[in-house]
Amino acid sequence: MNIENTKQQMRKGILEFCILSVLKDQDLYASEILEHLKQAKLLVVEGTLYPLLTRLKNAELLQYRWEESTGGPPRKYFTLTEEGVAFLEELKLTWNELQHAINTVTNKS
Amino acid sequence: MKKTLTVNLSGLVFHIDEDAYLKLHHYLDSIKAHLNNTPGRDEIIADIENRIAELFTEKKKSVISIAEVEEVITIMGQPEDYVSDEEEPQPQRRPYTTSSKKRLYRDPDNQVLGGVCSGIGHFTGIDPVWVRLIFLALLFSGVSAIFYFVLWIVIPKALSTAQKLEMKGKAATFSNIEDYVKESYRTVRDDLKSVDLKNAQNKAQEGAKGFFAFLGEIIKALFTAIGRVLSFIGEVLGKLLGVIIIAVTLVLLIAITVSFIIGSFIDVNIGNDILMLPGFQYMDHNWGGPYHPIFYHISMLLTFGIPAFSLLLIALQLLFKNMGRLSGGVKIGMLAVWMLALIAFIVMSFTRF
Repeated sequence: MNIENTKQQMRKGILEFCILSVLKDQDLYASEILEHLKQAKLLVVEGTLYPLLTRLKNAELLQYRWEESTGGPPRKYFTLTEEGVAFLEELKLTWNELQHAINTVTNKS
Repeated sequence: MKKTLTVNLSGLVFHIDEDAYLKLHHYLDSIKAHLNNTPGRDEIIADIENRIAELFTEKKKSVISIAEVEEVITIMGQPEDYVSDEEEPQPQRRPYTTSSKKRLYRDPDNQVLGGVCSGIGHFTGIDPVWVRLIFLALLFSGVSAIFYFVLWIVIPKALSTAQKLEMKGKAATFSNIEDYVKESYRTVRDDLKSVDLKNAQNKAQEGAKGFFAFLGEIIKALFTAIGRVLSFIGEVLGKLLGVIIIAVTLVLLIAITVSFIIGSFIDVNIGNDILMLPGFQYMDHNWGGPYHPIFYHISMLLTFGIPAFSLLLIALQLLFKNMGRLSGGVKIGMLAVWMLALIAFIVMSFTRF
């Protein structure tokens, strides 16, 4: 068993949930999403984010619009779709259940 | 002192050192290779390029050097990190430098004459010594000299580091060719898939004359798709045609050279009765022209040789896109020589006997 690998798997599993959560209240573009995730130490390298964003967009949980920026390249701002909001609610429920389950299991021993 | 290149990332222009460019290029290429089975690959790549452009802009440097590129790679992560967990990572990982295409160049670092043989050696993966031996062996037919000369003209010399890397890239082995064909096929297929049907439907629902707009979009998309497929087939056929023409012109050049050597040998020496081969005796060898017979044969050589030579050049250009071209002056000169030779050949043919 490789501990790094397991850690990474755990992180990856909840990454989608986190991206959707970050986007719940505000529209953000990739770098801002990255900031949030990095602060929470959820992401080691940025590359992981882009395939995820595209997948969530293709699943129609996210949509985006282009906005010009001063100095830099144009930015892709992501927003939750209605399906995305529903999806997020669903995930939240599951997360709470999981948290509860894990707490129960780990506190017992 | 370093050479810099200009690149366009997400519509922004950056000056970048040559070595830094190569590093970045290989990085993006190997990400592409890793994401091969991921849907929306091109979009992901565009997003990544966008982010890299942003990181470069934040640096506020006039020239991007290799240090900046390495920093970006540390931030963005290794190509393996891009594979999202839903898709299994590809079983056999491609080495880092794979996707850069190999090109035919002359090798200035390992040349005897013009570096043609070592260039061919790099391209085919054969030791240049063997290539040189083949050229030497063919020298007896006279053709390899002409062929070498042609190649010397048309194949560009690898001068910059980028060109040298391209020259030494992956050998054109059978499995690599297969990879290349697969890659081309994938591009065509992706294009077909991304045909803008959804967009067309939306537009159609909006407008009052929606139906025709919808029809128009579909027809447009269809034609684009057909165009892509045709250009792919065209490229393959073009290469095939190039190979066939090269083979034919080589045979032609051999025939022309051999007939020149034998023909002039007979005509020049027959007065001395040197040649008394059976089968030649019935021929009327009495040279009747008022000029030395060698002129007749030279004009014949040029009349047939120049078109064959030009055909060989064209075929090589078809096959390798980076081939150099003859300057206009040389072309006109060749045409003039050919016309003179043609006239001389016709006139001498009539007055020969």
